[in-house]
Amino acid sequence: MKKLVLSMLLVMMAFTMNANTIANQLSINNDLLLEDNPVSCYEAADSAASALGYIYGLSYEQEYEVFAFLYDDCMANNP
Amino acid sequence: MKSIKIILIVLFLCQSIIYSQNQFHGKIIYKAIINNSKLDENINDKKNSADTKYLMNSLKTQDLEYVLTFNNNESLFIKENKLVNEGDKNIKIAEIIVGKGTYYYSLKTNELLRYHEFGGEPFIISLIAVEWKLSQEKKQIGKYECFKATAIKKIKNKTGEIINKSIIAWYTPEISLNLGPKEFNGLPGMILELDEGEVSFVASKIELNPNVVLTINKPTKGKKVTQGEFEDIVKRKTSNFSRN
Repeated sequence: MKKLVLSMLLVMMAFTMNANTIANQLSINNDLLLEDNPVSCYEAADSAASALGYIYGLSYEQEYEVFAFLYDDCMANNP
Repeated sequence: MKSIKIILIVLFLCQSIIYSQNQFHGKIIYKAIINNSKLDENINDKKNSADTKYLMNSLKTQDLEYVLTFNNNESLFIKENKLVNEGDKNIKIAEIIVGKGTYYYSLKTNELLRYHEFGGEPFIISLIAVEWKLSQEKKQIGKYECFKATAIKKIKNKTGEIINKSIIAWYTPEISLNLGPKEFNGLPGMILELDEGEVSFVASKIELNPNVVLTINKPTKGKKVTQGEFEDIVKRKTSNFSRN
């Protein structure tokens, strides 16, 4: 019986640790995804798209496409 | 009796010649040119970052070609498939500025369509043709005498403001099909040069009645929408972008 309780506790501990590790990992990834790179990539892409949109009189759709392309390109090149 | 036969044959031949002269099929290659005047004014603007300036500078040299394939009933305007370096981001941005999509026009029904994929989803957008003002001004493009026509195209920008873009077209009645690049057609002749303000299309090669069969495939796969509906869909799909 003691063995059973002990093994259950061990399994629960393992689950908790695993969950914490995953949570930490997620939070790191979120920091990377939502704070550092994306803000600078977002701002850089948005600024360039706005400048081109103004100069060339781009439609909303075109300006978004320029933005999306530059943003993806920035994210791919700044992992 | 013999003379009647000869007259009939001559008449038939004349009719065939006249008919074949009025039948056009072929293709026109247009060079798309991104005009630099506004770019030069803005390239040294302190507001623009070094990256933006570099991007602007490299757009000047982009060389894009488009093909208008046509017959007496319909036309298709599409970007020429050239081998380009897939990693060349300037070409991709130049393509967006020039205008992405395939344009189809039916001379029989006046149906004007643009096929475009947005956010991975294909759309067939029905467009309304612009209203032209004809002028007597003329110039020579290659061996063709061309006349000037102007129009206004309305565009909604990121802030929701409507921009009136001045369009100038040079068309030749010598090719008597009212077709042209992108959604621009309806003039009494083929458009050989089109100025959309910041982007121009100039015919660089005209192939009339070649001995090859040219196929024109009307776009059929995609969600059918009007221009207004498409703009709403784009806005909905990009709500994060439009918040600024």
